[in-house]
Amino acid sequence: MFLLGQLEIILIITLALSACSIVGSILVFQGAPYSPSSIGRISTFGFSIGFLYSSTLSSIPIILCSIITILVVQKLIKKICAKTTISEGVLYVLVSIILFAIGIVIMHIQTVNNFITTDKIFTGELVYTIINRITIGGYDFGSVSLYLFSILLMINIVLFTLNINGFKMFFVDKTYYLGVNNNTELLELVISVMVSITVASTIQVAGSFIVSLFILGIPMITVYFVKRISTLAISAIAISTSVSFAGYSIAKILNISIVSVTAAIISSLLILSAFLAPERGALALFLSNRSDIKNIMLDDLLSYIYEAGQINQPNQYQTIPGDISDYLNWDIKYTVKIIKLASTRELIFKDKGGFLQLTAQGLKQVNLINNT
Amino acid sequence: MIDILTTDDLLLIIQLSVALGIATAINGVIFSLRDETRVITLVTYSSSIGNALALFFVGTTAFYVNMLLAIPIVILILAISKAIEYTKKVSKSIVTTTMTTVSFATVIVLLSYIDRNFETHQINFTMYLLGNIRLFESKEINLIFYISMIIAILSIININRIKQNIFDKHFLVTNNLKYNIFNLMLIIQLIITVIASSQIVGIVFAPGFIILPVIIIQYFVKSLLQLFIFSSLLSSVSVFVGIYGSLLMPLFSTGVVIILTLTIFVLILLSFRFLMYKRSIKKNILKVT
Repeated sequence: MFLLGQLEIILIITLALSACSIVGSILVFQGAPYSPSSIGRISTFGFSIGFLYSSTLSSIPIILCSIITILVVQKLIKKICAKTTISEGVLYVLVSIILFAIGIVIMHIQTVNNFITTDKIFTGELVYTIINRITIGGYDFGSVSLYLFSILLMINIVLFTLNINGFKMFFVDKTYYLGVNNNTELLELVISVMVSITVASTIQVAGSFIVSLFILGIPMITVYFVKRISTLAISAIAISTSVSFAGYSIAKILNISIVSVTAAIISSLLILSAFLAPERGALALFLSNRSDIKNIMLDDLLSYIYEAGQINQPNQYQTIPGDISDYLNWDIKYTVKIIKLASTRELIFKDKGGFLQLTAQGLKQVNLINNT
Repeated sequence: MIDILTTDDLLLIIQLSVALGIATAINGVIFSLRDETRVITLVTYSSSIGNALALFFVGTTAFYVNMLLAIPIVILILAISKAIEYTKKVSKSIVTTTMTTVSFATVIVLLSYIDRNFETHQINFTMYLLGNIRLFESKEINLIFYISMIIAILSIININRIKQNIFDKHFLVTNNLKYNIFNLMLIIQLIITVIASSQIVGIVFAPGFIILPVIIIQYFVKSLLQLFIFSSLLSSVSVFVGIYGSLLMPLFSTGVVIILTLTIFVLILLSFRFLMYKRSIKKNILKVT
């Protein structure tokens, strides 16, 4: 029974993370006009309103109140933005913080005699409680949350699959999408609905703040390795499964909250992939940019030596490091480095007078530059 | 609790309110007008890692320890954000949001570890995240007051640079005014302000507390100086009401009361603005007819 309970928790986290990853894949490609953490705070307000009608977790009133709150607030913010000069991002931060404060007050009043404390709203882990279970005829069919997250994942997969072509068109070329479909309202509504149902449900697992990392974290890791949105979503689900297993195991060993360890693993993977990913990572890009700059400088040096040889002005600029540095306006240190690089590649050589001359290979490269 | 408040206590609360009001308004004006509200949130959450680390290693949340730990951590997190932005794989807003949550997750990991494994430290997450005046040590009031005065004086001295920084970044860069160093100074100033206010306002509400007054006041004033003054006033009044209110109603955290007070002010000011707008339309119609 104990093992079954553990498996249930891992399954809940896996399902929640997978559902979040699908929504996150869309938001990462869309550029997320609103932040999921603001949506998480807005959802807390809906959550607290839902508690006025039901004290059971994962119940329909709670989820429904959260979803309605998010959709109504999103609509209102869009309207306010259209009529005022306040930016959408600022408005989301402000409205979410105000609603969150009101939600906390309602929670405080509600939770005086309740097992759900505001601490748990921040740290998540509400669904791991064994109170809310489905029992029919004395048989335990598992936690309600298990079914909730299964349904959530199914809804997200169905919505994603149905609209995948629309998403591709919308993210790659908005004008083309508008030309084909007249307006973007329907697709934006689908995204809003997906975000709101995911946040409203996942807030019970991840808490009102970490929910943002659950949504964006794994797709952000995956984006460094894949190019297509469908591959991104599938890889994100695969990573979610391994992350939830690892998170649960480490949390049990260290005696820390499961959600925060899962979030810490996602954070570490994100930073590692952003820095070390081949081709698209920060380090790879930095090195490739540096070698690009070196190649451009090398071409400039070869062209200079070629032109100096052609013009033949003995008292003007010579093919010596000092003159090259003056003429090309380079630092002397870089000039020496580029000359060394050209020598090692056997593009130039020093003649008896100490002047730099092009080798046959160097001359070939200059001709190539001139032709292109 | 409210019965034992003496005149000296009230004076201390006023001193604290004024100090926090001035410091937050200055940072709020600079970062809000530069449209960098997400940076405020990122700095707030990442500086709270310093707070959690101070509790983890030293067992204290003293202001100077927090500051020493928070400044390098925030700079490191901002550098990581810049590196991720450099890859251009995801938008800037997504990077900032994700790094903010990464910081928050780190705080929760540290706090939950301390809470479950250190018998001497029992963390009340609600008090910690939503702020509570009872967590605040009164001997730090003077320090915070002097720091906010220094911030105010520095802002007055650098007012022209601040104006350029807000309204014409390109001018600042092209005129070689050591833009990056000045930016770093502003970030450090923001970190200090956030640390000073987070124990009272709470980590969760600190960004809203910094931005809210500025966003509303900017609709009623015409100059930067007026914006500074009135935002400070609004923040100070809210902090005072928040501290007093949370002492009166111990069930509610100070941060919650401060944000609710600010919300009431915002609603009053917005309805006033709306009435003015309606009246001006009526006047215009009368003029035309």
